[in-house]
Amino acid sequence: MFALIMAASASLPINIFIGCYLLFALFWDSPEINLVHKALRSRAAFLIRIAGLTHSWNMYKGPFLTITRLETRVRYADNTIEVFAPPKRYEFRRYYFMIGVRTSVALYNRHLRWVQLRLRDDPRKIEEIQIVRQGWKAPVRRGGVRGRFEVAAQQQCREAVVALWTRT
Amino acid sequence: MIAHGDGLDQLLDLWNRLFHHPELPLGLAIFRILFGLLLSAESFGLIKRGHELFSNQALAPVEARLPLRFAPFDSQCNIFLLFRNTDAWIRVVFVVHTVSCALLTVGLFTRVAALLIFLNFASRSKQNWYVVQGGDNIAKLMTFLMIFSNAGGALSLDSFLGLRWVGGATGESSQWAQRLMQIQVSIVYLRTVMWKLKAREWIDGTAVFHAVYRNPHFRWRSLPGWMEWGPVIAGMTWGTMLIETAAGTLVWFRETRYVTILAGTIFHATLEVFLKLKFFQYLSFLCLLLFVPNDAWIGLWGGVKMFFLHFVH
Repeated sequence: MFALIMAASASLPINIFIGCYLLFALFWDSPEINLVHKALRSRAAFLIRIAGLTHSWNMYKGPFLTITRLETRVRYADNTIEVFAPPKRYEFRRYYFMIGVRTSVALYNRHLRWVQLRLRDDPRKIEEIQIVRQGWKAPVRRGGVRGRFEVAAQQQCREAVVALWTRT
Repeated sequence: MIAHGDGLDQLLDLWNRLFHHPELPLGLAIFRILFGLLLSAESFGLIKRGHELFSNQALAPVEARLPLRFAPFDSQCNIFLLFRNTDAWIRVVFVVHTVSCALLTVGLFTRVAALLIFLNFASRSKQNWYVVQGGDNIAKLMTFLMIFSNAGGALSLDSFLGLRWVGGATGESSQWAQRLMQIQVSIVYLRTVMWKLKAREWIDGTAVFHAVYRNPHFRWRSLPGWMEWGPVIAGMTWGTMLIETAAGTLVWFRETRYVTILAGTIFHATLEVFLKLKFFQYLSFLCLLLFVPNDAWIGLWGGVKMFFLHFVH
């Protein structure tokens, strides 16, 4: 017993660190509100944020029942309208999906500036840029004799212009 | 009846066996090499394009991010903000990051490299939360723990050059940091299941259909017919939670470890086919390799050697 305590105390700082990390890993992103979670969020949050250790695993919860995304439409001087697509290489980072589910006007305006910068080398004259927020809903019905999912052929899309730039 | 002293003894013994049982850092070193290679591949592209994500002309710089209450990163200190996060500075940051990843792979100044990589991932989530995905979080926590580990104690230039302070102990020693990394991986899987249990679709067995059908990458293609069949979808939905639970629990036991790793690998490969999450899937697979014990790696190496010797003769 004594030997064990001595061995444990020899690595006491490490054991304290292990204990603290376990509490952090177990309770920082706890789906249930409990005392440890509350204490961690209120007392240690400042340190954890400064250290950049904040994280969340609730993104795996899903599934999203409505697809919300942004679409950028560019109107040129000859009245052609094109949809601006973000670089393909960032598809897995879901540029348009991640900011699409937010509702911050400042963020959409910032995104508009981002698009303008991406289009600065476009030789054509741009008249208007619209950032459109789309909400796609395809009613899904489960059931039937064979338990198949039935998806409505007509998808319902609601859209609204959330940021706009026009040449004046 | 167990005396109090015995109970404490057992608890301390269990703690010591779990965290301080002397082991070689071989498994951790193999993870370090593969992890470093993956991060190097990811960071290479960011040298050229990182400014599109993190500079002052990027998608969501600080002033646009602040009004959001739920973005938990209100602290602004991060390496991108140094030198006013200009495009040129972002490029420098990612060059340093790529070099750090390469150093981690070869195991030179391992702990310093891990610290620099951690700083980069921590800064990414503060600078532009909208382009951060689950894989970034895992990489961040793994590199944080690697700073304290003996990851450079084997198969590394640190061990070759005898740089113990920056590489870690080379012989048998306490691998508590690796154990914390394993626990962290388990927690990720179990947390995921706990979050899923809060959504009705995971309980009634329809979640996978929604996830696949409504996924932005898959949405416009038609699903194969069998994926519209309720029992198949229910099996996939509950199977997902079952595999995630196993990956957080059964992977700890020798008898079920390899089956769980195999199931986890198939699971992540399937997710990659349908959801295309790339970096996250590869990283999750690598994290499962943290549970492979040293004797299995040694046995595998022996088998590979035997195979080649047989082939040569």
